Amino acid sequence: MNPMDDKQLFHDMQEHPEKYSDEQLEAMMAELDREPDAEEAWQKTLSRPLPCRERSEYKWQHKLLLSLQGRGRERVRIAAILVAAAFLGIMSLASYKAFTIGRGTPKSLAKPDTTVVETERYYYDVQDGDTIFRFENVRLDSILAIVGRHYDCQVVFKEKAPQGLRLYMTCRTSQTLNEFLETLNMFDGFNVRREFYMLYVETDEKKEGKR
Amino acid sequence: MQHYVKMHRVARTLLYDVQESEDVCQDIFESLLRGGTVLVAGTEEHYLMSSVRNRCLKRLRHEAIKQAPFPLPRWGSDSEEDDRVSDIEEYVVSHLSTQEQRIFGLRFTEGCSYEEIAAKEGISKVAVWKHLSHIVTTIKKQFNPSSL
Repeated sequence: MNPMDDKQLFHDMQEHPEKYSDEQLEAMMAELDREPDAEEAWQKTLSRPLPCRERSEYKWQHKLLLSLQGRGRERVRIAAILVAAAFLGIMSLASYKAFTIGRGTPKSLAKPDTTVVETERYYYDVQDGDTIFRFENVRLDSILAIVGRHYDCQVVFKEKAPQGLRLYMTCRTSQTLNEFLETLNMFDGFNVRREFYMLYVETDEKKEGKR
Repeated sequence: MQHYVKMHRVARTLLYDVQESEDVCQDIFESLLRGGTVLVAGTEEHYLMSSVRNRCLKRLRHEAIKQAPFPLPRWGSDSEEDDRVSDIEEYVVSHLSTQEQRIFGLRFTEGCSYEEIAAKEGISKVAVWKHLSHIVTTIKKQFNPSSL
């Protein structure tokens, strides 16, 4: 019997219990009350990927948050703020060093095939129970992967072109999906259309024409 | 993690599917870990159980939408949809018999097993199943496309 049949059987037993013997109902109850492996499930929750391209610093912050979760949310928040502050400090110092070293490097040493990697920043902050997401130079498909998950929507790119567009934007988890889409659709080059729980992303020719 | 078994039980009573039930429970924990929701001490269990019920009922409604032969109206934003789900559930439960309301509470709020409910109510497990079947079927009817 395949899983679909099991599910149908379950629904039928629920809707028409009179059709089944006590033994069959008891077997179904035993199946439903079979205890799941809570430990394994918890580990699965913790190991779910972050809703962004995983970068080592985010993994590290996430792990720290998780390790502190049992000690109270206030402590977690304070720790997160301290971690974020320390991270920003380190990044600033590293940028300064890189800048000063770069200035002293003769042009002749620069390799002609050097590739500049486009930076992509995504971070979030918690304020009064509301989470604020800030995207800096993040690809549209990455943004929609996060947002789609938050609003339980399936995202479909009808064309490839808008996927790689990079945006700077801020959004809050308290926003409704429509409010978020209204903001997003102010950008040129694409249009996101909602149909129930599907988000369709298309190239917007009208907007393209205006550019 | 201490609430996981109970949450899983509630999800399975509504969805049956193990994977779907796990997804619902994990989504709730995940949103708690990331969303910064602060739970007031002593209300965690109630919050978690309500979240499981709401998410499962929303899934059932989305399934109903997918299977509907005609486009169905949306209920507004996600938070409005949550409120609507809770209202329907509250309405249905308030129209159940006193015993069914107790059984609903034992299964869906306290996360008791069929055996525990049978012992508390002094009835057989099969009778518990029949009561719960009636409760779930009545709630599900409210999410049926023809009644929307």
